[in-house]
Amino acid sequence: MNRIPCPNCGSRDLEEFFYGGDATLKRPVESEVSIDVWHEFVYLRDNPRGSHSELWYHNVGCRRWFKLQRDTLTHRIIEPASDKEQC
Amino acid sequence: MNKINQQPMRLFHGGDIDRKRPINFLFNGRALQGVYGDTVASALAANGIKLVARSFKYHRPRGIYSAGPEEPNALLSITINGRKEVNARTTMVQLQEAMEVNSQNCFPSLAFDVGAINNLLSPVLVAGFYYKTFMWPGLKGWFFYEKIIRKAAGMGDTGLVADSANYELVHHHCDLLIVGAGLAGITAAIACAAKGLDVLLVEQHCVIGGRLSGHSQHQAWLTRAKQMISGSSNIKLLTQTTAFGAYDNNVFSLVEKTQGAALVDERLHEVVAAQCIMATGAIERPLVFSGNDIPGILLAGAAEQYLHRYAITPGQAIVIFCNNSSAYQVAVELQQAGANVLAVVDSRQQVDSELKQDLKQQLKSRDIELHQGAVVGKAIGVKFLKQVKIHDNDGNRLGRLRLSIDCDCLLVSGGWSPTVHLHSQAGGQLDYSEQFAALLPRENTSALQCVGSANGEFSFLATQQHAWQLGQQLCGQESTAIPVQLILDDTDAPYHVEALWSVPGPGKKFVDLQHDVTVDDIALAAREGYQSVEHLKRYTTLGMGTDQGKLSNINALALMAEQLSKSIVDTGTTKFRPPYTPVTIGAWAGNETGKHLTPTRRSPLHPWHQAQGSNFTISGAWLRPTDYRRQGESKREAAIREAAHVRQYAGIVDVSTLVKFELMAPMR
Amino acid sequence: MKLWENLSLELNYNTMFSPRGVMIVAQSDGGVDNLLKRGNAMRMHGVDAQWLSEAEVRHELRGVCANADARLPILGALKQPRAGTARHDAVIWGYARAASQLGVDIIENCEVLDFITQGDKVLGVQTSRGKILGASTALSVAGHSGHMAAKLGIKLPIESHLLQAFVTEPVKPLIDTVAVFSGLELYISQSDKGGLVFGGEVDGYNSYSQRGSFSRSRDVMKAAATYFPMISRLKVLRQWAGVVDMSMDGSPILDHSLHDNFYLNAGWCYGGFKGTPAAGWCLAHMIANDESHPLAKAFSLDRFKTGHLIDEPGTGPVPNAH
Repeated sequence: MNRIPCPNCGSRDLEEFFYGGDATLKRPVESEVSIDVWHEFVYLRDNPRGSHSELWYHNVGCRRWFKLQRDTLTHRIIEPASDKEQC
Repeated sequence: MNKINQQPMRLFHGGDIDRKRPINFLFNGRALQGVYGDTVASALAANGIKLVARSFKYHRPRGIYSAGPEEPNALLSITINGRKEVNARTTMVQLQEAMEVNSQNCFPSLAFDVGAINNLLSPVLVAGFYYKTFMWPGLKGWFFYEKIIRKAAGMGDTGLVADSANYELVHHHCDLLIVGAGLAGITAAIACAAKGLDVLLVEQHCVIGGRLSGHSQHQAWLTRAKQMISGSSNIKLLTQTTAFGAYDNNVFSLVEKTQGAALVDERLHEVVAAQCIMATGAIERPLVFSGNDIPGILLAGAAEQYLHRYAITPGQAIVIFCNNSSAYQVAVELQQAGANVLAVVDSRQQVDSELKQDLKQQLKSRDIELHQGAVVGKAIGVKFLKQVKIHDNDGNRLGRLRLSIDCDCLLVSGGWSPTVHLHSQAGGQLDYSEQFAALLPRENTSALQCVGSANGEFSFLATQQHAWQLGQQLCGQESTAIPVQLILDDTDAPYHVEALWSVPGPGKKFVDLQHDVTVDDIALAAREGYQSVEHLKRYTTLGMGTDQGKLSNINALALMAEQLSKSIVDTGTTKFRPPYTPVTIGAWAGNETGKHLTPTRRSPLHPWHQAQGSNFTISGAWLRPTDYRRQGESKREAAIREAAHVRQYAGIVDVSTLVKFELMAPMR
Repeated sequence: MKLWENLSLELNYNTMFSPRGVMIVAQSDGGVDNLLKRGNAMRMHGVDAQWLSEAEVRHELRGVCANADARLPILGALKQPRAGTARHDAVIWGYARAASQLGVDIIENCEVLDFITQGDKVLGVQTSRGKILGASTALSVAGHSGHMAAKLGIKLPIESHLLQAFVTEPVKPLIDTVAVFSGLELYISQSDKGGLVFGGEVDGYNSYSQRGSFSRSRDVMKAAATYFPMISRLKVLRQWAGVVDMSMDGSPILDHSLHDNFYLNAGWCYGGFKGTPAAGWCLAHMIANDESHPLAKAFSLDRFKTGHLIDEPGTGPVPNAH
């Protein structure tokens, strides 16, 4: 993979980005005390071969996080980030 | 004195060279002369030098085999301006004044090489011999042998002196990248540029035109094409530039060899292209028969290049051995230029009906014998070719001996393999074509399309029309006709080929010339169970040389299929991976090396620290002071003195490197 | 290491195991501290480890860059002298032949499509060439553990990443050991054939594609050209990218607790090859006895829950940082 479509800056070189991993993970609430819940959030991953929802940070560009859908087998961007999906 | 006379194989006329500009160079210490426009290989050929190298394993004598990046033999070490390049593909290096060219992997000399004893040991050194031998007694035994093997292996000696070459990186963003400036690439480039597309046209050789370059018949066309290219502000042409990698998202890597013409020796181009056309042409395959590696044997298409581009005749008495129609033209052209072509040996049974009347007449009038349904069963010679034995083509066994012909040059043509490397690297699929006995691109995507012989279009007319249409299509324009001045005023004979993967019979038949992999080695690998093409490659080291299997892969694949009685499709092919041609680490790295490996950050107080005699340590991207040593003090003493001072009085610390924090985290 | 040393004779196949030593070069003061700590830990466990001064590193790595010319200096190195290289294909072929002689059927070109289960029991696998049933099923599919385990409904602390590697044209002996640089990462050695084999860090995003990114390949080249200024003139012949199981603590997972009759060997990150004989040994023990080998107990899956991580670099659960 060499290019990432940034919703603010357009298609840019991979070097400009920081990878944030699986975007489907939901951080448990502060009051959560179950080890199982935290264990799953911190360590376990679906790691799919195919469509993967993931976070990217454009650290030498707009400095925004965004979420996109990418195929981990072909590197095709299935769905680029929309404005709404900036976090 | 006529300088050209010193180059016995050079013709008095023709070629894309300047005979008035001689270039002096040394080959294994011997002073020779080439001319402006020569490659190192063509200069050697012009001087009648046949034996240029020794093979990797058996140290067998080898000569120049090709005229392009597929060269398996003529890999020499070249020193210029104190810079030494090992394993240089002499077919791709422009000759320069005062070059020192030396053979590698031979001791004490090229002509008498002690390592050639490996040739006699060859029954032991078969494919995979490493894995079965050198094991006793015990582990210690292998350690002992390994030391010797490591010394014997390796081709060039690169030495420990730092590389003095300069490298740099250039970025391009273009509408269209066209790889290959032959007939297809040039036609497509002109079609697109006229419509306003921003085109980057890339050619690996130093001149454009591909097979047409240097050809007197096509001179006028090429001149017009060059004018159209240079007249267009939309086309950027890069010559001596090889596209070596096709990566995801239509990112391509190219390497440009400036060869002394600039302050930079090699330049890496990283190209982001909206679309790409692969007009990469095709590579001719060798024919595999007993003694097929003797110096004096080379590809017919290469001989055509040497004739037209460099005005060189490849030998005094020439025989041509082919399984397809493309070599006939070479025979006629060589004879026209004054070379002595004795015979064409064609493995196909019925050639007569296919040949055009005028070509037949030309062969006859020029006394070129035609042997149909015949093969070269054996080539005779050691350091150079002396004779070829012509046999009947009898399918699976070697047929009756028809005659022997004394000759010093044998041109071979085993058909053409489209250069699909980049297409495949980019993820494109390949299909085996029975008609062309070659792998062809399965589908063209909108982002990357193959055209011309790279796409299995083996005729000038089809190539030019497809290239023009494609160019128009990419611009989203309605089709117009090709401008008259761009039409190539020549058509070529239709291309026919009948697969001939190896000639039966005894003797060493080399499939991979560089790594000395023979037909028997492939049979052995099949018997021992290394049948998957990936295993075959690793077990025999076939295609693992610096020619990266450009000449050997298809033949090996087909021979393995024969061994397994499977079709070529079922036997499978290996994946093409970057780089297409060997690329230096330096060029690939660009200029971000040494001190510039990563950015260096210095605090605003850096000069003050320096003035206090500080030493620095690396802390992330920053340089931070470690200690301020006074004369004679150790680091520890300085630290203790500093700590004591801080305890008793006060201290200052420069934390400007910590001032800026960047906190980043996505909202989950 | 002893398993490696005897492997060729045991398999009657020359794996070309070559104990030419492995050294990790420290390039910052922090790096020196870290490696010294690691070296001490190794020695406390009875493993050979030596500390090399800068001068000793320069003696062993001829031609390595001078500190004055480099962005990152060479300060010393941790060396394990008995470590080294082996010809990876030969190791596989040797094992395959030995296994075949012991009665193991090896089926090539046979893709496992799904597991066959009954309640909590794994009975076998459904493949592209039919059904295979067995008393035990072991999953040992480096790189693909994630999506294969998912077929059993198992989520693993693993991401699949790409690791690129490169090999140059063969040259006469230049580098006589295995060197790993800890600054801008590079590992490099020279094969018996003469080619330099080298690589760097993982590409850093989830991928099963075997196609690396160009910018990462350049990072590796930059490091190679910097640390060994004489090799930038050498030409690279091949580049490839493999899929590796990156576990969340950078250490492997050997576990038998997920299902009955089911054994997992995964998460070896980019270091699986060196563990081959030991991993095979422990996996065999686990399958035969339905319990972990004493040496492999610490590598169980529940360590992520109980907090007994084996996180050598201490970077936390970020696979691309290991």
